[in-house]
Amino acid sequence: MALLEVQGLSRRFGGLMAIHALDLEVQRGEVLGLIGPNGAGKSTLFSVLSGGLAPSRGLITFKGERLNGLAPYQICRRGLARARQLVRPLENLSVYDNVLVGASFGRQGTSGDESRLSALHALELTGLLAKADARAGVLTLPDRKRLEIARALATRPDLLLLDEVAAGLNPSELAAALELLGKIRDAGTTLIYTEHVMQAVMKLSDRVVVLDHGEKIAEGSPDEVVQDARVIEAYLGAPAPTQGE
Amino acid sequence: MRRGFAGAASAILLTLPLALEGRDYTLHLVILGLLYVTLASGWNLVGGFIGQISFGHAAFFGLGAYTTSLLWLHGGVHPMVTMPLAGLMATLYGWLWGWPCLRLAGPYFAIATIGVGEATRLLMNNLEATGGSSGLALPTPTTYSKLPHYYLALALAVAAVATSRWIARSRFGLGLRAIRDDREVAESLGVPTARYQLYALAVSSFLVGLGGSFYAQYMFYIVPEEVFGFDLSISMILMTLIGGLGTLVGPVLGAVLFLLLEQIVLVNLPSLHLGSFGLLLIGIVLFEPRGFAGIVDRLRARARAKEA
Repeated sequence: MALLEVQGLSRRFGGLMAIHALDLEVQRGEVLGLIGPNGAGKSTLFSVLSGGLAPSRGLITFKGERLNGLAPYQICRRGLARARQLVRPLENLSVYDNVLVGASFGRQGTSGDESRLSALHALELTGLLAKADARAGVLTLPDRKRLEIARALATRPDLLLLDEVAAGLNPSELAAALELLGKIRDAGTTLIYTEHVMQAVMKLSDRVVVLDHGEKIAEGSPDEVVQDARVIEAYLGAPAPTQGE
Repeated sequence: MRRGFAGAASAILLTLPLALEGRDYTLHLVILGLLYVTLASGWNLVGGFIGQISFGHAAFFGLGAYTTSLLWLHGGVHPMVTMPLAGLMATLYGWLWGWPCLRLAGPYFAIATIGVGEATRLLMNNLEATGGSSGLALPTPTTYSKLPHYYLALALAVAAVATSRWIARSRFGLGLRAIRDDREVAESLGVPTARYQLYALAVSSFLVGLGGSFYAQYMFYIVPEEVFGFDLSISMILMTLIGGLGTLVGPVLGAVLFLLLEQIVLVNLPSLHLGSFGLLLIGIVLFEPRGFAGIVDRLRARARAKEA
């Protein structure tokens, strides 16, 4: 059984179909790259999966259980966490407390000690341990991104949605971010992530799904997908009609 | 050193009435101060801990006062016995409007609470059971001592501060702080935000309801215009803001400062009463948004820096 199963999912904003009749399956332990031009519906899909937006139509099944209609906190507690593209640290809390929120509330029935341990673990994995006592509001952008991931990781998710982790990072920061994603994957967390930086996608993904205008236009291994005519068209536009010599 | 300080403070508070024997007015002010501590600490649980500024908390105070008064007057129940019920009535009322209103945030929540508070005041002002605008006079005892009232007020204030402290250090408190910073993010990290906000309002309204109950049995006379008054809601906000929003010592410091100012200004410059609080509020927002608790923190840090 797939970890996550999405069937016929649509999300409409007034007259705009942000996601249209999308089918998607993610297996346990897999790293799925989700790519597509701006406005393709990637972030909307993440919002719908994590409960922030209600689907207009379709079914979402996670670990054999229906997610439709659950509140975001209930979805998080079932093991589906999200790190946002536009990072939103709890600015007045310390870095440690930010992560502790995820650790204390993400899974039910954890003791205070277990929560503190898992918070420290998430901080260590993301390299934030030295800044644990700093106020989250003073962090730099790369650190804010780390915190966003650490917080989501601290909820001990089975499936982690990562939205544009590489956006806005310089090459050395990007390398560090990729290394972190590798570590998370190796720890057994299933990942779906969206990315503009193709290098990142090629290197990490087991499988890539390409969205355009809310629809799935291609799916396959990274190598297959970048050679797909529809994908090239979506990114670069339709080729000019060939002129006769 | 901290423990020594707490010990000294409790010794002073427990023996204070002895030192003030024969000075009834001063004792009255102290009792009022303790009541203010209870109200400000209670208000702070919603206004400070989850950052939802309520302008309607007088409704809880009034309900608490009237629950006790009516049971006492018509049922002959000892007022002390009615206190839990007074708190509970306030909590129930809080849940009634908190459930829809807490979905709002920021100014929208504040505006909704103004509406609820004012509607409650107008309703109570026109009910026969509340005595309407002339209020209710309660049976005054033949022998009267402020002493029991002092210890009751002290117990309430200590309970309010201790409850706040306990919440601030608990997992629940961590959830509330997350909600205050960003409700959506808190929710996505597993915090049941809707339920937690209601819990905070429940405790907050319970404490303020207890305060109202105490007020009725201490003053022997209540009027809707006063116990449900908008001024009272504003006072709770002012005390907490002056002292330090969302902190533990803030409401205590704020209640004391508010009481002193109120006395000084009311006696000397009655017409400038509200204006002076307005000026103080502007000063605080401009120069030290964390209130006097923030000033104390700064002085401490400076003292520590000097030592080092």
